[in-house]
Amino acid sequence: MSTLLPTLISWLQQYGYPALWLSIFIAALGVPLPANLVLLATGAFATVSDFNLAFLAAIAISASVCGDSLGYLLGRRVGSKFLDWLEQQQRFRVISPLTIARSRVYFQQRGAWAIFLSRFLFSALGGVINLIAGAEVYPYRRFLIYDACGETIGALLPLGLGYVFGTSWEAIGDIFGTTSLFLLTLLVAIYLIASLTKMIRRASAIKAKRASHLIGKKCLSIDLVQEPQNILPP
Amino acid sequence: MKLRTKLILNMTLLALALGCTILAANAEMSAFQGFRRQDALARAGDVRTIRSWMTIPYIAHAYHVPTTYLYQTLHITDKYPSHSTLQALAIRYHRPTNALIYDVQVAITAYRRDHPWQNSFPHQQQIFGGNRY
Repeated sequence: MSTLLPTLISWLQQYGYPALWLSIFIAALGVPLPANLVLLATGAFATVSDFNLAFLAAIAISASVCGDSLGYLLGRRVGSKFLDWLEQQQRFRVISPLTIARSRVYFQQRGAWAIFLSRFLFSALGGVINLIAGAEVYPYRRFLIYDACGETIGALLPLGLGYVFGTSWEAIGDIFGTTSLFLLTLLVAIYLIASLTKMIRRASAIKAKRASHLIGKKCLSIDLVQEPQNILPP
Repeated sequence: MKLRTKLILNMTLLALALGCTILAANAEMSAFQGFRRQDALARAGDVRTIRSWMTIPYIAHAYHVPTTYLYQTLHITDKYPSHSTLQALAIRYHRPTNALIYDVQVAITAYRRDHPWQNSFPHQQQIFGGNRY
């Protein structure tokens, strides 16, 4: 159990729905608060009619979408300017303009998945993805659609599980955390395997090219050596 | 960067990622086992599953004990204590949280002993086995 969680639950019990809205909103901004665990706990408390489950879901979704939108706005206002500055840098160039342009195209193509999955599966990355989406000037309407879809799953899943399993919600929180970590490391490993395969193919292609170049050179030299003999009349 | 350097770097990162994946898979298995254990205890109404985040009404609901009985046994005389977790109550009454949890466990066990016909957890005696919690 996180050290902050008992305090958050105490606030939740004392101040009710506003405390839940505020904690989810702050967590959506990227502040490391255990939002999933808070939702699991509130789901468990809903069994004793301390909270209404439908109202909890509405509050959780609205708070997380508002927090994500603020993160997006921050990324768009500050992050895009920072990226433009990086692109124009001549003296202290950290990232080449080509890399930045490529990353922009890549995010426009694949960003939807990143936004959607980071809402419930890799929730630790949610805040960063919001900033990146803003900085890469991802269309807000599309961002909002994928964000709302992801956040709906991200709110209903822990609330429902907390409601069903009640007292065991802490153990479910552990499963959430370890599943997220396992899938993240697995994805990184798959990406690295793919990139390693590509590198090995490139290396073997270069090797083959060099070998063919050498053979060509040798053939040419043999031809050059043999040519005078052929030219000579018998 | 040379291709060979890139290859070595990539291989090192891959080894690290695979190691982390194995560790995460192991943690996942442990988490599943922990959940099964915890859920079995909770479903049997085992008092060892009482935690500091629980409120008195929640405990009363989950362990089938009257709320008023718990308040009386724990000598809680607050006007509106229903929204206080055990941790908050422990702070308010200047007591260690674990001691308060222990008192709640004793109170529930005593209630079940005194009211065996109201017991909704038929398997609890097997799980407690007469042990101290």
